[in-house]
Amino acid sequence: MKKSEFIKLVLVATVLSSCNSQNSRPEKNIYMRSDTTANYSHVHPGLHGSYIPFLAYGLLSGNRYSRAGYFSSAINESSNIGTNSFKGNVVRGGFGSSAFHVSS
Amino acid sequence: MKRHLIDPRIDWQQKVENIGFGFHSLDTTYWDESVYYELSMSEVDKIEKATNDLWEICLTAVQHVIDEKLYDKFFIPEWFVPQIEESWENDAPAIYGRFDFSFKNGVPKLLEFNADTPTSLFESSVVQWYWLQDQFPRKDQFNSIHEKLIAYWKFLKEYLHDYTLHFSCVRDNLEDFTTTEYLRDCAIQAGLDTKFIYMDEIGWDIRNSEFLDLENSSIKNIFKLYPYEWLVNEDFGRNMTVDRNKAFWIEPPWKMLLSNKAILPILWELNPGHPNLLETWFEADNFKLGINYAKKPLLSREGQNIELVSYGSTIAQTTGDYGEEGFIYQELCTLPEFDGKYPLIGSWVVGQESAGIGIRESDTLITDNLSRFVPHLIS
Repeated sequence: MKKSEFIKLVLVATVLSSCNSQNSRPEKNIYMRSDTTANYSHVHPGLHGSYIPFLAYGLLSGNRYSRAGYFSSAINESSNIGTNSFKGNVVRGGFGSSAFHVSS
Repeated sequence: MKRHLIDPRIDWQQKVENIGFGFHSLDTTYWDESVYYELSMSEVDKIEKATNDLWEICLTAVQHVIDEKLYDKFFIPEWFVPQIEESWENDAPAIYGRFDFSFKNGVPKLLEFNADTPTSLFESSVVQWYWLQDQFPRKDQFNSIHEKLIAYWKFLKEYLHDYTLHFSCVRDNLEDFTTTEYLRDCAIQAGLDTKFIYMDEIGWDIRNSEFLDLENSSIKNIFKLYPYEWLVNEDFGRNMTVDRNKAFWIEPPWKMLLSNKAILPILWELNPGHPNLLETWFEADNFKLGINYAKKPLLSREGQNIELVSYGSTIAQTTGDYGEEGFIYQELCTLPEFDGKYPLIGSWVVGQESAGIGIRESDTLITDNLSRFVPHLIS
């Protein structure tokens, strides 16, 4: 027998069955910031479709989680960090600019 | 190998979406179950043997490239070479790869090796398996990819840093996300602690010289569906050389050699006349077989910038963004034709062994991003 005897999925079916592949372009003139110490900047057009994700940003130390704010790769680095020193030590967005998908 | 037409399952779209396959029909049909291929066990055995044999000689070729310092032939920046050598010397964890074969007259011939970021994994492993259960439940299929992935993640567990294994890909692409999440699914079933993060969300801690996730936890093991040739050209690429955690990147940097088409002339040089290799050279002038060849860029993806020349005439050609990095010239071996369609065999290596196949069918001699994935069975 050359095939897998049994296939069980614990993650993919639940995570992906609700996804769809339709992308729509965001409005062209959206300005945002993710930190009150930061300036607003123009949202990168086309990268994220109409959905602009903001993710909780913090520090996990042992079992204790300290929230430091939010981060979104849809907006400029300067508008994510501002003068927030906790965020300022960490740079994001250094990977991922080369292309939109990998297929090979 | 035979091609058959068949009625698709009723509500097949719903069936494949229920298992998480959302990109079955993008701009055009991608998953095509109105067709399937039938292979004999003898043919499957030949593909399996070729895959295992080629994997062995690929490892020997990597050692040769490193010993002889042939990096300039691969268009690899000098500063990244220590990463390649270190990952090779330390036997850094690797999980998978896909050989692409032209399969004619019972002999698989290697067209290229997608060793770094192969996709179509979920379709090969899961989607066609479920198709077989519905359509031909008593038949066999060359496909033990799923159980081999889980087994190999289990094996790798003790070789990883004792920490979370992160999984990453580019944003806004369901195909890449599905491949990545599927590999993560298998890792979870193997008992690994995992997290997902998009490539652009990865942080670099300037003060402590380490990669961080969105909770500012260290990234010490990471699977990335992201080619090294992109990674080394981006702002964060050089940080890999000063990462205090020496994170394991999967696939490891030495796979950069095998995913580059410069490996093909080296494989031929080391194994002239190998039955599963095509004669390949770095220069067209060295082409001793005459005037039939395929000209391929070192780094092209989705069949871009490829030219097929037969008796001095171009018989197929694609455009694209590649070629600046150089070309190789490979003995022309066209894909077999069935009813005007051209199937390409993608043969998977999981860990160290052959694990199964996926077939992509095209309307043209060059398999590109319009090709369709079609299932198969063993007669």
